[in-house]
Amino acid sequence: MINALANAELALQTYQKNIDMISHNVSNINTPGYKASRAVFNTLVSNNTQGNVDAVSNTGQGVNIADSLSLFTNGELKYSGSPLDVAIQGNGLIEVELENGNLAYTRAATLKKLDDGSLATATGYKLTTDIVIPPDVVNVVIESNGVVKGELANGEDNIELGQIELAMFDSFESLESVSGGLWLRTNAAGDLNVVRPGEDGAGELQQGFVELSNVNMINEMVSLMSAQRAYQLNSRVVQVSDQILETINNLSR
Amino acid sequence: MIDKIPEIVSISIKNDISDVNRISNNTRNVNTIGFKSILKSNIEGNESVSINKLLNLSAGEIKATDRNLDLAINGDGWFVLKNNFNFYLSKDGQFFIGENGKLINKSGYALQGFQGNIYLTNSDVKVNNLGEINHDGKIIDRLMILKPEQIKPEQLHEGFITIKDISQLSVSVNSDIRQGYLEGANVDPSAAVISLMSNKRHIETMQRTLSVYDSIMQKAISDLGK
Repeated sequence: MINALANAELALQTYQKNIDMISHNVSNINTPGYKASRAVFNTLVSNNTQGNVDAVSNTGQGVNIADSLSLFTNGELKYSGSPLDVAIQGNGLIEVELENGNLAYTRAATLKKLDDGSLATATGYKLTTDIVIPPDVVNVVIESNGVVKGELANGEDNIELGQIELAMFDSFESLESVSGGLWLRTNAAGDLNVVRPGEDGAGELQQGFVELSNVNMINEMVSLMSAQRAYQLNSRVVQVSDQILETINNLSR
Repeated sequence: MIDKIPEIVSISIKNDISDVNRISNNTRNVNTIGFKSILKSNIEGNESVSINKLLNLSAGEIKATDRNLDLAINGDGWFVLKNNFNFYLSKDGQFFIGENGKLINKSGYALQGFQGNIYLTNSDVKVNNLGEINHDGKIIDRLMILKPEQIKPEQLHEGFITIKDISQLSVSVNSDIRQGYLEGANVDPSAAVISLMSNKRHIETMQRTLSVYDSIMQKAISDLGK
């Protein structure tokens, strides 16, 4: 059978998936700490390196989206005024603990105090750094190096409550993105180093700010248009292949 | 003899379909980074031919990506990738940090500098237009940018060229590396659609030819035999 049909079908599926990814980015344009994902198109290399002289049948096994990568550029920081909003200005992720005890990493650091005084993200995942805020603390101060201090009601000296640390990976892009603005560690992400904010290439913390998503509307629109046109082009190939097959069926009319 | 006509029709349609397959292979890669469109659908023999007879080597559009492991080559050179003992040439400059900080492409093949694999400890890296890699304040290696002259059709693998032996290549002298950019595919959609139309019509002509031949034969057999 004609290869063109299979080629074009695979391409249609691929560009549809690409459009799904773009729509996911666009729908998260206002999600704090969201990192835009990009499709990684993979052209599979066939292992047949001998004997076949037909350039087309030898050109590979198709194009698909191998993967997506999260684009770890910084989003814009926006002043929120809330003392428990912490934005990371630069690289680094905050480590949290999931319900099942596994660790995850996030940049959406809008924090809240749990009933036992410990800090958690807005979605309820507890920070792994053990910081408990006693009830008599009226104001929490988070310094740019991650030191958390509490201001007491009686106006005495601030007491030091703990230290927020940042997780640094060799390759942030290879982390696995899951829902809720969380990333999971993967082998491809390489070594994990836990460092203080501002040290060893980690960003500093900014209290009272949230990091907006780094989705660029213009980029997404241009990608959407080009994916749509690629889809159209390949659907034309399907149509023509179909007409050719029809003609062939009518060879002996 | 008119007996040759069915054979001619059959070969023509076969060639047309082969060309449609080639076009579909190009169009499905219309958004594939660094893809060079294929010019010929079937090449007789197994001889090395000049690469520009097999591939359209014109530059794809160069797009900014804001990502510092995205590299584009402005010029006739190709990136060199290594997987086990096999070498590949590619125009796709989208790289990732893999295990042990090794710089790899999405298939996991290692990008080659003049000193072999390239290792990074983080993604803070600068690549200048000569391909020199500046990491942690010092130049750690230089990208190997090579240029193939003659290749066999069998070496062509959808955007990649496989090579057994690096010595058949030369170092590209007029390649400019651009960090933070990627080169798009150079597939021309309008040319693709026009070729598809002409192939389709050609097949229809052949179909018509065969059906006329068939009716002549019909006439010859039934009338002469009367």
